[in-house]
Amino acid sequence: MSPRVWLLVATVCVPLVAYPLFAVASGAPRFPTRDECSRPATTDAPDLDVVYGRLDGPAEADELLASLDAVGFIGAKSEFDACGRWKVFYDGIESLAQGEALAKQVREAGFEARVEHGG
Amino acid sequence: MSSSALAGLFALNALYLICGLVLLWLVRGFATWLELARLAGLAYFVGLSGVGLAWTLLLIAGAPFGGWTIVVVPVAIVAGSSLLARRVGRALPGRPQIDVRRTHFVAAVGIAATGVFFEALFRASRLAGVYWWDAWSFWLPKAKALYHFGEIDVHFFTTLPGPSYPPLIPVLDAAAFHAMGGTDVVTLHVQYWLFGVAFVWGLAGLLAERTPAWILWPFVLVALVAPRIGRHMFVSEADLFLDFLFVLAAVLVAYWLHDRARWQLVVATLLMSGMVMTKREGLLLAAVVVVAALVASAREWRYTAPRIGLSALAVVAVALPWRVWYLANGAEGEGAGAELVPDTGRLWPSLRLAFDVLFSSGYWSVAVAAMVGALVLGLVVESYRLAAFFGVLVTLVTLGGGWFTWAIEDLPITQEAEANPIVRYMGAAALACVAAGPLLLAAAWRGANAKDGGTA
Repeated sequence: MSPRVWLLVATVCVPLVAYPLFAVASGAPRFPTRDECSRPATTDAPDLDVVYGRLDGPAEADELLASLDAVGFIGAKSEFDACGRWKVFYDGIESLAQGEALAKQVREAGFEARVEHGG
Repeated sequence: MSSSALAGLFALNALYLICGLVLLWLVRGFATWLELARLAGLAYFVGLSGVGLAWTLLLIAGAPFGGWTIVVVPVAIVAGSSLLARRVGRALPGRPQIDVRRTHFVAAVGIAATGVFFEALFRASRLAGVYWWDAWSFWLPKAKALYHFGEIDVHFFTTLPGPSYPPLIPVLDAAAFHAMGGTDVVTLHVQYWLFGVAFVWGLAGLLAERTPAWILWPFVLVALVAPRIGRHMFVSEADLFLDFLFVLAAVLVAYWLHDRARWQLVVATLLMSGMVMTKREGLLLAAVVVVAALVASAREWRYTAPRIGLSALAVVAVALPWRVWYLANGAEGEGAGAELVPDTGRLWPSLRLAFDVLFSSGYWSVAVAAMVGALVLGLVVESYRLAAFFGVLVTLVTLGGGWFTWAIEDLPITQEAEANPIVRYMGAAALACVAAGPLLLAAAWRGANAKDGGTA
């Protein structure tokens, strides 16, 4: 390619490359991850849930609910969380100790469970 | 989630582009790879409309919307169009002969400035939240329902606000969710950012063949910095997307009136079909394009009227299935809220509102004023057809805005966006001015061309 063509290409490309380099010079932006929707509980709080899982769709969430129901863990529900997944959880606990006890029972039955802050 | 969502989204959009390029290759061919690159933005919308309409019509007919449909439809379009193109003798593009002149550097500066703008806009769109009422109240819920359930849930679609709004945008959003691997409504704004990038590319690519760079790029940059255009290009609503289809279709029809190249009318018909499946205003805007074309070509009506009529029939045929669907399922029609005999006392204030919005530099910067000046110059150099087409087009869009404010008596006569959608609607007129201005100024600059040589 002739020097004029290269100059033309540079006229377009140099600003397009320079701008993002300049923009992130003081540090790249932080992108939140889906994990930030899970907030494990470490103290008593009024918004504690026992979370059995976060699924990609309502069908999978309903399956998990049915499985929990079948082994006697009733009262769980599913709802859409802020990270685009379906959270299956039980919100009828009043303390961290109560939640941990329930979560232990659920894990012994072969499911996942963790006490988290709801909302 | 973040980088894989972006990768999936870009792959989906690459598929739209490939579909569009093959379809354009079929209907017009490409002389050189440079011409292909110049028309890539238009090709993107051709692919998007073609694939999106196929998905939407299949969905309305009851076909499930999911991974297989999303992949098979564009692949079938690419395969079928490629075979057909080879059959009709389309050759591959040739190598361009590049002869760099000073005007190319003007274009290069314009392209660089536009590119930097979109890079900055990407940063905003990448982490945007969903703040717009239409987006969170019905566009995104419909898209999520399509993503999760793979079908149009009658109760859900007919009880949300805007039940008669066609489903093309929710279908495209749902396809994006599938590509991203989840209902990532944040990264979805990048899809709308891509619509904006492709529109500017498409419009500039179309206008560049008939407009000197020093006329074209100032209009492009004015549009980008206009408060209600550039900054709204990542908003996850249907208004700007509709306007993009409208303006590209209008430019193609304007070209067809002069060139009489069949592909221009064919592609414009496809884009207008996309319009009527995007929002209910799409019907009005498609009708505006048809009427403007008929008026501007009144002296050649024996040639143009049957072809424009055929194009209009094709658009109506595409629009019908959705209208049948929502009427059959008991949803309110597209005239919901409009009075058959509106209060005549509202007529003048409604029209005045529409014209006030059109000429507001607070929304559109100088785009409209510049176009009006260009229109006058176009008439001076006797570029009557071009001036008539865009003059009628912008006037009818504006009158349409006045009409719906007048007819829907629940709408207050105000520019407040939360109360009256007139500002969002008038974006169509403003963007049409962005397209018309350079063409008319270029015609004025050429000056001595024949009466109908304004688009040559």
